[in-house]
Amino acid sequence: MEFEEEDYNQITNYNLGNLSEAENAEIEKRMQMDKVFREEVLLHQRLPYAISEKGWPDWGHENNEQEIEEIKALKRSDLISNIESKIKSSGRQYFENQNKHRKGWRKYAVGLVAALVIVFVSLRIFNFNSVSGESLYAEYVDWENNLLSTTEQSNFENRGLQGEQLFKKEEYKKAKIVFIDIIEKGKRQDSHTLMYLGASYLELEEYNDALQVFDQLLQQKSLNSNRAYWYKSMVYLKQGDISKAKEELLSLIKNKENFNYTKARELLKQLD
Amino acid sequence: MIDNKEKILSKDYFVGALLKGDDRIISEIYQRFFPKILQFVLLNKGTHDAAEDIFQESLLHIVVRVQKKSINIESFEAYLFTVGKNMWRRELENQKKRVIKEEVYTLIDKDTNFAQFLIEHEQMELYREKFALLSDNCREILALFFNKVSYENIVEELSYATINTARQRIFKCKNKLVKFIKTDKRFKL
Repeated sequence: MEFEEEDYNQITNYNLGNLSEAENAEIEKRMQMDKVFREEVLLHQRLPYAISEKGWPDWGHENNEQEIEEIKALKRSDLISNIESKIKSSGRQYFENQNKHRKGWRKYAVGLVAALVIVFVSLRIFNFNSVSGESLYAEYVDWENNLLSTTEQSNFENRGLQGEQLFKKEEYKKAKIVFIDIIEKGKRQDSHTLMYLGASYLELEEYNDALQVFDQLLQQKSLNSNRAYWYKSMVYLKQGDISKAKEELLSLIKNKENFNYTKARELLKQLD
Repeated sequence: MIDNKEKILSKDYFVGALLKGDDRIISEIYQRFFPKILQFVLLNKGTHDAAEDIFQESLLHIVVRVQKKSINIESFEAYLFTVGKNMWRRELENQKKRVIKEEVYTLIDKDTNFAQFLIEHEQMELYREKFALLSDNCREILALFFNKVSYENIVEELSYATINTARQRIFKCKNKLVKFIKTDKRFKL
């Protein structure tokens, strides 16, 4: 069944939380009375979760009881139960081995800590900050959450999505080529392309190029431009240039609305 | 050399091992892929124990989907990571609900939870598959809209003439997507 444009506007505004209490109540009443309308609202509610990578939608499962029982029966079948036991026993063995390794390492921990202290002190003396920079970089870079994602599925008709997919597979060289190609062919030079190109350069340790791309992003003055402060701080962290990383983070925290404002403050504390 | 190695480590190599319960290769699966799931869970408010659970449930998810013949894996590693990540996203939402609605939230048994996630994940895959069929322009504008970017910023980012033009475009693209989804026989609510 097709609805009127006004219905869809109401559904969109309801899902975005833009309606008044009275209007919300009206929609909810209609959802109770009209099953098809309710299903339409639910479908529209779920769409964003499939595309963005945040959260997970509510799912009533009123219509899926039979399938749920079938899946449960399949999971409890002898075949799957045996596989489950194998997965768990292999897991136990793997985690036990991991623990043994950790315990083994503990024996050498005192010596190791002492050695690290010496290395750390030496590096501080010579003003080399690369060790802490590298580890903080590893802790904070988190591309998964720090890059905009259009979709998790690859679609090779679209070069941007292809590049994103390659980046996620850590094929940075190939990703870089795709994004450069997009820019050179003049197809797009939007924030998405610049973000991924800069991140690819960074992962390939081509730091000057990464900085240049992130500067370009910053100059765009678009919605996502301010992300460049965060990315540039990651470039400097990876290089071990703590003072420059701090400069970028200080620029970032000038505006509370900027991307990763809280994380930037937290990271600055660790760098002080 | 790399090509041959990739062929050996293809999806069938790991999926086949799971179905046969091959201890040696299942151990290899832990060694190769658990650290990535662990890192993701730890970075997203989770613990080592939670990561273990998610990893094992994700492997089982793949086994059951293969048995149900409702799966299309291009890369075992990417698929396993997507399942694990989505399972954890869902668990975080459930934890939030448990905190907010402590009194009314009823805990459901593990197998029911497993089955519900499986259905939800199949549907999410369907949505994404249909999203990929849209034009570049539709995908671009909807991705911004679904990521809660305001109409004003969408107009700026994609150089639309007015908010109304952008709104109309979103409306048309979203309806196209909904139509694609609803006409697929795998669609269910």
